[in-house]
Amino acid sequence: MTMNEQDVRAAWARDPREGHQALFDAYFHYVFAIAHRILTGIGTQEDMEECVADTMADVMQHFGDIREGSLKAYIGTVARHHALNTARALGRHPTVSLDEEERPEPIDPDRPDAIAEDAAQRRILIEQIQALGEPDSAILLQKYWLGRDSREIAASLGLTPANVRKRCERAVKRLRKALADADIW
Amino acid sequence: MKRTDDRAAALLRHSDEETAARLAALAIPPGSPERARLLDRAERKIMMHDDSHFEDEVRGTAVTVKHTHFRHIAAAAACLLVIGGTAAGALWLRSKSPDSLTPATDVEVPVSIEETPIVALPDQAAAYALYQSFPDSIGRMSLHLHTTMQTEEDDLTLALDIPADRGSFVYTEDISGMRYTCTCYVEGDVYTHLCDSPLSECTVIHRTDAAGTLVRETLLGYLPVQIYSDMLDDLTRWHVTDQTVYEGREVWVLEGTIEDDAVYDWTAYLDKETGFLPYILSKDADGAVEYTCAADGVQYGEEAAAPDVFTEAQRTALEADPAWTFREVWEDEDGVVTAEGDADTNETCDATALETIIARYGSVPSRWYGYGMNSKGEIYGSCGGYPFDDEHYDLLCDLIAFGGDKAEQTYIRKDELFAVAKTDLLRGNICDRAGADWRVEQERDEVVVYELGTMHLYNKEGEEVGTFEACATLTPEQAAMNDTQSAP
Repeated sequence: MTMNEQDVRAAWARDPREGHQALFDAYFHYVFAIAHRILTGIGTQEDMEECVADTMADVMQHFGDIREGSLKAYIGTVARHHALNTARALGRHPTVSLDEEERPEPIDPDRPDAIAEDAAQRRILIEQIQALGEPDSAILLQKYWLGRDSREIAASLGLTPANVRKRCERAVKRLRKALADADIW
Repeated sequence: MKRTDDRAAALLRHSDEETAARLAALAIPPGSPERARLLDRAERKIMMHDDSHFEDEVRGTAVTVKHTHFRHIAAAAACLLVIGGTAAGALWLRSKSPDSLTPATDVEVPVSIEETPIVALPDQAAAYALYQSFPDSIGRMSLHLHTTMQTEEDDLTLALDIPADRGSFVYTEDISGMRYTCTCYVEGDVYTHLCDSPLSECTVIHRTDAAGTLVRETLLGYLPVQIYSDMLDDLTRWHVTDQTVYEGREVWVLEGTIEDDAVYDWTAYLDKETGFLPYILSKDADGAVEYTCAADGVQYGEEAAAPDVFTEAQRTALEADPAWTFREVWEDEDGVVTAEGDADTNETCDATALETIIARYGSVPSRWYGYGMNSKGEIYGSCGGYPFDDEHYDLLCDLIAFGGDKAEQTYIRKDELFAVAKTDLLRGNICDRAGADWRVEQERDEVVVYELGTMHLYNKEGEEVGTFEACATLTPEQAAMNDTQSAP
């Protein structure tokens, strides 16, 4: 079930600790995505985690002051603020656009349809990864999207590194077959 | 495939914010330890920022106590009382104590003190450092390795036996800054004995130098002993408990637990000199063996079997074998380019290897069709997916799983099967009368039924427990082939 702002506020009204959990369930991925986009290539995994934890702590502390209907916007602003501060502290400049618009991708003059093709391929790729089910989808994304090694993935998901390697190997095979069947590659 | 992986990674990397959020939700799913850890971290930050006014879980708000001069004076007085009381107590105890011992005091000494061996176990950090030093410390080694593994599939057990005389070896060396990792050479002879479908894994590793030039290629398997040793990485879950001698070498005994899909207790031996783990055994909570891996005949240095390389002739021969398809090539985290091939059809079950494993560990840990040896020395278990032909006769179990259920598996005798059913097609499609009737009902004209006569059912001890009317059901095409095979 996907949680929204109303669910978070309802949980918070029952019990702040329940509200913390609901806030994480509803917006963790949003905050993580912002931190990842801004800090990729600049900071470490620890920097990203610190950014996520700082953002969530800020939101938890000021939850009562956040105007109803603007929770997501508030969280996004705070997350970007923390990520940019981290980038500055590291003495690096983020390469990602600071506004919410999608970063323009380079256009190959010989292939003006490349963006649309990439978007279609990306959509199918993500669908096929999702179809692998947990934890295989998580393992592949952590490996190929977040660039983590087996040990880091194992710690994140509560598996053993050996299990991660084995599952990853099998999942890659299944994904390649699915993509080949879908005539993607 | 490497290009394919790069393309996938690039597509994911250039996702917009909305897509990235979707990826994050999949990559770090709800309930994962990472999410829990970050939530905990955020909550701790709130407490740190606001430590004078934090929410108590049960009683609500707690306010920090304001210190006053009166409180300081009272605290100092309390300290003096404690110090004075302690000193007085010590003087009183001293006055009541017996005379202190002097060198002249007679002390009754036990008649004999049995000397017990002192086991100076290394601390865990030292043992872990030793384990991590492998394989840097060895140069070269050869070994005979056998392993059994309960796979994730309930009815699938994998048993490997890798003999040293097939060139099993592990070594390490540097080529253009790329360190060879520990690997076990199996030359394609990975014996599998499975309950469900054939499976074999073998790997061709191409090593390249910094310029991308192929410097060596070798047909390699992996060394399960070290692959599964990363259970040692969690230092909170194991201890050095003893020392012993294994296969003529001094080893530390390590014991711990590992949490995978379930919690397993494991025991491993750590070679004191090299850091190699020649033995691992893990069991689940019910005591059932989940994984075993043991190496014997381990030799190090110059005594080790000479490392062989996969020659061009061997590679050509293997690639020409239709059973092998090389279909995977990718680069791993360490920059090692790997190609993998599967042999799907030509597995053999080495009966000797199976006997060795059973003798050492008892039954092979399959939850459904476990292999084992009964009191008469007969091996019982699944047919393992092997053909019922004369060529594979020696590789099949004496008692082949047939009928029964998980609670009470029943078997037929291999020799009786071969006597009753004269062709491998009939043997491979044997069933009882009910099974034949069911198939006829399902497929009507598409099935031909052969009545083979009465056969006996046995338990795993080889004791007769019943009989059944043996039939075989073949498709019309199979029937035509069978009639050709059985024609004089």
